[in-house]
Amino acid sequence: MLFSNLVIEIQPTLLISLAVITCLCVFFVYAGKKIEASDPLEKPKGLVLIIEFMVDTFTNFFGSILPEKLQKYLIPYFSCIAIYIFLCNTIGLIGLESPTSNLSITLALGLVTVTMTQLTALRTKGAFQYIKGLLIPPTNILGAISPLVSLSVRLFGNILSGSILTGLIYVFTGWLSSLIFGFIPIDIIGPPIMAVLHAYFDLFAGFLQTFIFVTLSSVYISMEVE
Amino acid sequence: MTDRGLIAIAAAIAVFAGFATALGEGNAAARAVEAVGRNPEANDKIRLMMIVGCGITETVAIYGLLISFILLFVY
Repeated sequence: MLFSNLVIEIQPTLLISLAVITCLCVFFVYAGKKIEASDPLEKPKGLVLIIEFMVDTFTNFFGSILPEKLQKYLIPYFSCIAIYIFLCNTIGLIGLESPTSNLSITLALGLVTVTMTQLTALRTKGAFQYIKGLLIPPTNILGAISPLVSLSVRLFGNILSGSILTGLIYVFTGWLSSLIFGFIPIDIIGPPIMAVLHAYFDLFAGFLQTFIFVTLSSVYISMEVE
Repeated sequence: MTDRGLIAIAAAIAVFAGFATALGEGNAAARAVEAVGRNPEANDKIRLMMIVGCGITETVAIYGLLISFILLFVY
C-alpha cells in the first residue's frame, strides 16, 4: 500500500549507458589481448600505439594532481571515468540520447566522487579528527555536500541544454524544409547547418565537461590528503 | 492563462543569470591575454587554466538555463 503509485519505467538513457559500458568492456578486453601479444622491445604500431599514447597522457596528467600514495588505484579509475563520460557526451553524434543528460547517471558519478573524497579524508585523518573537521565550523558539512550537487548538475545541465537546443533547431529546420521543399519528405536544410553546431555542442562541450569533471574530482580528493 | 504568462516571464528572468557570467568570463579572458603578453612562454599553461576557469564559472549560467528549461517544458 505504501508503494501503490510507484511507476518503474525503463528509460532509454539507461539502456544506452549499458550498451556503452558493454562496448567499452569488449574493446578493452580485445585491446588487452593485443597488448599482451605484442613484443615490448619493438616499436608499437596501430592500436597498441594509440593505447600507449593515451595511458601516457592520463598518467602524466593525473600524476601531476594526485599525491603519490593514491596514484596506483586512482589513475586507472579516473581514466576509465573520463573515457566513459566522453563517450556518453558525444553519443549524440550517432543520434542516440546521451546518457549524461539523465540526472540519475550524473548523480551516481558525483556520489562516487564524494564518497571517495570522504573515505580518503577518513583514512588520512582518523575518525576523531575527521568528525571534528566536519563539525567545528558548522558550515563544513555543506562544504562536503556541495561538490555532489555542483559536479552532477554541471554535467547534467550542460549536456541536457545542448541536446534541447539542437532538438529545437532540428524542429525549426524541419518546418523550414517542409515549407521550401515540400515534395521531399525528409529534413534537407537541417544536417548541413547542424554539422557545425554538433561539433560545438557534442565534441567541444562534451570534452570540456569531462575534463572539468575529472580535474575537479581529482583536485577534491588530493585536497583531503595534504 | 495568467499562470502561463507568469511562467513565461519567470523563464525569461532565469536566463538573466548569464549576464554576470559573461562579465566574469570576459574579465578572465582579458587577464589571460595580458598574462600571455607578459610571459609568452607560459602560453599553454595559461590557455589551459583559462579554459578550465571559464568552464567552472559557466556552471552558474547553466543553472539558470536549466531552471528556465524546467519551467518551460514541465509546467
